[in-house]
Amino acid sequence: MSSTLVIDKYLVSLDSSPAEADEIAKNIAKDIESDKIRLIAFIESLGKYLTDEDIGIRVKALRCVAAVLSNLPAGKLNSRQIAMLSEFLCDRLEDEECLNDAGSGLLALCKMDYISTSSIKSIADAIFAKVDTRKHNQATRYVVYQVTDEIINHHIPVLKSMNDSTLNGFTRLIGGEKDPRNLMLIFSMMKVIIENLQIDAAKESLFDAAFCYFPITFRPPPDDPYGITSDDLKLKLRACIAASALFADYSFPSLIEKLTSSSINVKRDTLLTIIECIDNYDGLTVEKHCEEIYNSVKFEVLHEGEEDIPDLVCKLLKTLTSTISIGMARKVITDSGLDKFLTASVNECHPQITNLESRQAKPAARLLAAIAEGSFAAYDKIAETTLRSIFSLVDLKSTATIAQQKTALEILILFIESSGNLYGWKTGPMSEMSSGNGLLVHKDALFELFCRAFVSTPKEEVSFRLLALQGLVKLALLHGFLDASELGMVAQYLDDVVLTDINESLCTSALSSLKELGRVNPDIILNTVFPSFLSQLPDPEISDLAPSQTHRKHYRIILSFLADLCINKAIYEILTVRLLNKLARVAKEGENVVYAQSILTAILLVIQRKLTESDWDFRFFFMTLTPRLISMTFTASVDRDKPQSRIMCHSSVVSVTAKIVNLLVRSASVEDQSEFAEQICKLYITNEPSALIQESDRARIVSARTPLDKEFRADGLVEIFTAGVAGLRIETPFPYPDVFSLASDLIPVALAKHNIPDRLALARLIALLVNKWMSKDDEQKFTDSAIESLKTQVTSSHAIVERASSLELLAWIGKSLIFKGNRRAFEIVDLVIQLLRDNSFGRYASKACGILIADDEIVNKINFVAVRLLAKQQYFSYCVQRIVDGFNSSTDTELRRNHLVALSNILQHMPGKIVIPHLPTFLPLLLLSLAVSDAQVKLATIETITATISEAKDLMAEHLSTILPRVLDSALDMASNPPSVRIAALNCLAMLPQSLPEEVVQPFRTEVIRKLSVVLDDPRRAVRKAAVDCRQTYFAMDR
Amino acid sequence: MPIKQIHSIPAHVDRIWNLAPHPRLPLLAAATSDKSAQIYSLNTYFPVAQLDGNHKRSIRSVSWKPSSGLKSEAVLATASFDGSVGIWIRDSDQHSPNFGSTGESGNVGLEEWEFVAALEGHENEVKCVDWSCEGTYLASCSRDKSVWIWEADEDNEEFECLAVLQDHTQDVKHVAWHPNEDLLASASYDDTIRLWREDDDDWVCSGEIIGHRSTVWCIDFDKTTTKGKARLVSCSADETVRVWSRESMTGNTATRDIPSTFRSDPISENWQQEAILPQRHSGPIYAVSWSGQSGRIVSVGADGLLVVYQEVKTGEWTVIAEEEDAHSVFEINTAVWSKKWKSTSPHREEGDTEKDESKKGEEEIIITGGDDGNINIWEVTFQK
Amino acid sequence: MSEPINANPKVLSLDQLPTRGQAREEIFGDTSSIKSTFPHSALDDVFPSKSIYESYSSLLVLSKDGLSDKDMEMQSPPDLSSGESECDDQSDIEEQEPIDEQEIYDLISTISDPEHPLTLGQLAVVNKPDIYMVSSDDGNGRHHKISKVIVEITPTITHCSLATLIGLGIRVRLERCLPPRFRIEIKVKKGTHQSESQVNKQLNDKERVAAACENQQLLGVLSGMLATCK
Repeated sequence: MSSTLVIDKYLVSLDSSPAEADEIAKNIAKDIESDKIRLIAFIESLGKYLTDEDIGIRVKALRCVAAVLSNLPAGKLNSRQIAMLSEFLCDRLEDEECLNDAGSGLLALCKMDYISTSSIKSIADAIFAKVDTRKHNQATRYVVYQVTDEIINHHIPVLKSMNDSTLNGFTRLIGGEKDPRNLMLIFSMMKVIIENLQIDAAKESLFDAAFCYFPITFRPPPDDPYGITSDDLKLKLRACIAASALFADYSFPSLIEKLTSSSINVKRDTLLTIIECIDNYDGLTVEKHCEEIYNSVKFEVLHEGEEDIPDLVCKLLKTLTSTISIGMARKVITDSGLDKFLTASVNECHPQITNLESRQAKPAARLLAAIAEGSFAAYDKIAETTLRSIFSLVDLKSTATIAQQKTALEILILFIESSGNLYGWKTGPMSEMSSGNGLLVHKDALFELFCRAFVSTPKEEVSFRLLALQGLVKLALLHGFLDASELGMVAQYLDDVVLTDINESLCTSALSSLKELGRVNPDIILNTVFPSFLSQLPDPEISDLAPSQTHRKHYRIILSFLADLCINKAIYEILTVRLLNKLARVAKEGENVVYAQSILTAILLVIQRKLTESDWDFRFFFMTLTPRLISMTFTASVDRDKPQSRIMCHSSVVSVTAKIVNLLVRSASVEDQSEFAEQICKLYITNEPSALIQESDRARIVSARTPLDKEFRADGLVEIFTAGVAGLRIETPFPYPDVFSLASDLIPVALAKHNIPDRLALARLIALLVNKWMSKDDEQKFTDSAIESLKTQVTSSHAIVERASSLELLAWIGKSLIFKGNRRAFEIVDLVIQLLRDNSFGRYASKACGILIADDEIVNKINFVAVRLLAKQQYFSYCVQRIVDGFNSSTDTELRRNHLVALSNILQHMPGKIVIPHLPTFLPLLLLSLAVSDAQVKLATIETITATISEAKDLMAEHLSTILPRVLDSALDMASNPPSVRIAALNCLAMLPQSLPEEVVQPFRTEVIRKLSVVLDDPRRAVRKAAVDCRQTYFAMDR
Repeated sequence: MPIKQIHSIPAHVDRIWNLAPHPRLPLLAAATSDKSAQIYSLNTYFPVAQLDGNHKRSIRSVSWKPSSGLKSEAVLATASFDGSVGIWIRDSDQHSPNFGSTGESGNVGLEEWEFVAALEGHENEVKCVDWSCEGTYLASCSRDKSVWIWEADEDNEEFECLAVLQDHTQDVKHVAWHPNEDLLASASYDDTIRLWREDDDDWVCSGEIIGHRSTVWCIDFDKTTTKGKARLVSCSADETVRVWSRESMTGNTATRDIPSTFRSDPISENWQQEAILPQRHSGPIYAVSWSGQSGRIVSVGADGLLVVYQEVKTGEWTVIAEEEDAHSVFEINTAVWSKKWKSTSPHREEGDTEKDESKKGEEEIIITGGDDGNINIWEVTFQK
Repeated sequence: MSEPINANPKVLSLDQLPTRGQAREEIFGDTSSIKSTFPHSALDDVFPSKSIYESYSSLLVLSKDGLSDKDMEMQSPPDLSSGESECDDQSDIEEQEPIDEQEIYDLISTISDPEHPLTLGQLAVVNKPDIYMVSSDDGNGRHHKISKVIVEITPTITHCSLATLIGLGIRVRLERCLPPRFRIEIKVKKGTHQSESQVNKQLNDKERVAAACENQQLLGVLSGMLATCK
């Protein structure tokens, strides 16, 4: 197809479908590229259109040229061809309608490889001379800026050669721009120009061209096409202003003038700009202006300006000092700019600092500390004068009051902080000069002062001693500052506070300081803190009346401190060793179960906290702690008469051991897990020697016991087995593939068990097996066999014990099937709901309703149990109507009560949004539940009502007249409601005024206020408080 | 037991400020904190009317107009914290024989009362209002330290202010008229009691009683004094109840026709403290009432105590009855003596009151109102 | 807003205000016997020192309160906490906690000053030592049920015209929070205010306080002051 035809097609399709036009342009470009068409031929064929007197045609033709050129590969055209085209396009620039397309064409040309410098020059000249951006829309202006930007970024030497005309042209080009996208381009071009061209002659006009946009008050429009924020613009403009020191004489005065603005955003932007200018300009230039800058910003610190302005001014002063300290290592050169500046600021602040009485002392110190932080030279000079005067004010013979001493400490801490920021903290990188810390010369005075402040002030001066402690800790964190013995003293003081002081805020801050120090030098914790803490723990061997044992903090508090201090693996390793030894001694004594349990709980606490932090290698603890604890428990269980068994086999100790095992197994890898599974099954099922038991005791354990069958004698230890199995991943193969028969065999064992912990452990064990490892068809087989037999036992067997234990097991198996999404589980649910009407057994059935759906600590997705998202929803919508019907059809109050209790047992475990849609159906029951005497039922009911208030406001408003009086009665009726229920009712009432529309609650206002006045005299303080707060929300409804 | 509670009416309000039994009809008016006054029948103790919708703030005091007027017997004045005094009249057409008769449906048919006049003028809360003995004058007092005397026209719709008396230096708490003279007494936060009299149609302060050491909350005249004699009882935050008597008086009212400007001696009267009643109260005493029938005095206060005193001889009183926690732990704001209308048999007709007037003569009750919002009725069974 | 009457009052830091901290003997509990009460510590989040039964009862059909012991041979584990009361939740025991000075202080210390964004506690306008609980039986020995609370306030400056407003705020708060058996008396501390007696008299005139509370504009200010109570 000849090129003219194609061009006609292009021109026509431009209006109808621009996409098609682009396609055509691309094909033309391809043809030129493959030399199918020669460029000249293409231009010629466009010739008549390009010169057509109809401007519309001319524009379209030009667009075709631009489109083709931008689709050509950069290396296609040679410099001659480019020159010819650029000259042609430059002529078109005057033609205002063509500017956009001509510009796009030139842009394409500029990006070509072989464009000559002369073409670039001619294009630049043309743009600077011919284009008046003000006349064009922002899109066209954008094209022009793009061409200029292309030249500036890739052909700066050309512009350098035409330095002055570029500057004039450029400033003229960019004047009065408003569009954010264009501004972004302008600001980046301006920065390059300022940094590369000789701007001395035009520096004022260039500065004005930039500063006229300051401050940026742009707010992106809602339908923001470009996503440019005002901060983007601010940063770009700031870079331009700070680009050259030549601007200093204009930028500093104009910026300082903007500081008086009342808008905090403008003030903040100005300060940040000044800081960037100081950073970029050279020292000499800044020096000239430093007096002027200091005086314009100092009052923001001295009179404490709002929000973060004082902090910004401190940052400014720090940058200012460091910039004018260039070239001075440690000594301030006399009457240099820096010297004058420091002397002026010290002379101004010193009198205020030394007058500890006035409110000005601290802000003045803050100002000086910021300046001091600028450079080593500045710090040494300021520290020398200021610190000496502070020491003299508060030394031994001084009569300064506590308040004055407090101000002095606050001032000193400011200087310690700036020395740390300057010379480096132990927690951060060490700066090369830290050995020469300006504060070192004052170390002894400082350390002695803070120690005295801490030790000699009376105990009730809490905030003063807190300050002293903070000072000491900051000194301890300075690089190479305190020596080992001084660090030891600081640690000792912190220990002393944590172990003996009763003031909570002092204690917690001392503990966190110890942790901070520990992170920097761990040996502090190992050598000083641990020994003193562990010695505080009661030791069975030492009699309790020994002096060292009396008046110390309760071991549960000491243990929680120890757990808190485990900031790294090494420390925790040592702690576990020491605590297990302590546990062994306590077990041997066989007296204090709670103490033993507390020790294990401390170990557990650290694992729980650190499990999420990746840097800990839990494999080590899995391999050491798990076997140690299991063998301690089993060796103790072998001979029941020994004291150890009373402790290690006590259910509360075993359950902590089980929790530890569960956490550690859960964190282990699949192969570690399968090894563990092997060994634990040997211990519990096949009774073979297990690696989990210490070598020496393995044989003894095996001979002493029979495996997990009816006569299983290791009572109370099943919990550990269940916890271990719970921790196994689904992909870890279970040592007994035939899970179906194992589960079926365990059922009789579970039914024979009476001990509560074992019964629960076995029920959970079977639930885990069914949920995690039982195949689909094994489930069917299991449902038809084991579950059916349990169901018959529940209905037919006469002894309550058999019926209740079978129902219990059924409930747990049902739960695991419901979680897994097995429809047949609802056969169990049907049975349970039907049993609600069995008057002698309904009570147990109502409990089973809760167990079937309750979230469980062990049978939980954290232990890799499959829990379908809709399980709860399905269960609730299945049960609610059946329970309501059951309730309505039974007349006997006991049976009706069973249904109410069942409903509340379910509601306890249901999130609000599942329950709300069904509320109308069970609301009547809900209200009746408030009259049921069982506190748990009432609590669940009130919690459901509270959830409804927040999540179904209109529903609650509609039923308020029935609900409010009953909830009010639960708050008033002390005889039948324990404090927890009364408080829940009061909190529920308190929510109404805030959540429901005023006109709905208003009618009840006076009645609630009057009736609740009785509760103001409730015997329990917590109830009174709840009543006070509740009435206040109703009083506040007034007006 | 010298005193026993025979009934308690729950008024379902936060607080009862003031009570007033009608001088002749078995009606009781109660001023309450929920901007309304309530009228109860003293026969059935059932509510008869609820006067609300006009006052914008609590009503502090109520007073019945002594019904000498022909038009209708029940006219009530209400003083409110909203700075105004309201006048209410019962619509005479629906005058039902037994007040507040309980219809079969159990809900009490409430009467309609009409708000006929609002007396504006006080700058802030009006603390008390009281009709003079024949109902010719109406006195009101307020925190703005002033006592106003009003005169009503025939059908109690037009009220003219005769005097604005500003001698008190502080908030005036209570005003009370002498039982048969046109003599007004006022009690104030400035610890004093003042007496006011009309001297040639110009009201003046004719006397001042100084003695109490704190706010005088309430005063009441002795209603059994013979002509020309005058005694009043006062109670105060200084925990004392005192009886004062008028010793002498110059500028006898008889010579009133000489224009006062010419009369040599201005009107004045001298009151002396006759007695301080035995002290039983701890905390401010808010109300005191002098029985016209038995001459006994009752006092109630913040300590929840109700005390009845009897005069042994002039200047000497004894306590004949004390009731602790008369309104459980709440403060008691008001106490008034009243005739005992409600006989033992419940279905007595109001109509036949006159017949056994004589027999019932000496029976009287005390009615108290407190911060528990209840109105308690007491009977003093002390035999001399 | 006009220049604040007292521009820079002395402000206490939060840890200086009296709180109902844990009893000393609990923290330094006598650790020897198993029966001692346990202080709360971080260990409680993992394993409360309270009875184990509480956690089992919702997990089993046959828990402690399911069947009585005789129905089946029950090896119930020895219980941790000393008292074996029916409701295991420690807070559910019905022992009497009398209203004391600390409770009164907690009620009023968080009222905000009408002028500063600070509380009366921080400004030391109300201080625990200046609160007295008087059970009125020491009067004439009979009104045992009614007791009296006296609160002495210390205005930040001697001629502070806001003393009455602050006093009114405290009285309204206490009237709303204390049961009716309490008689409340608010006094300006001796020698801390020029017109001390007038302020005291006005603050304790029940009728004027009630009237003030019906004045919408004043009620607005008061509600603002009480809104910060927690």
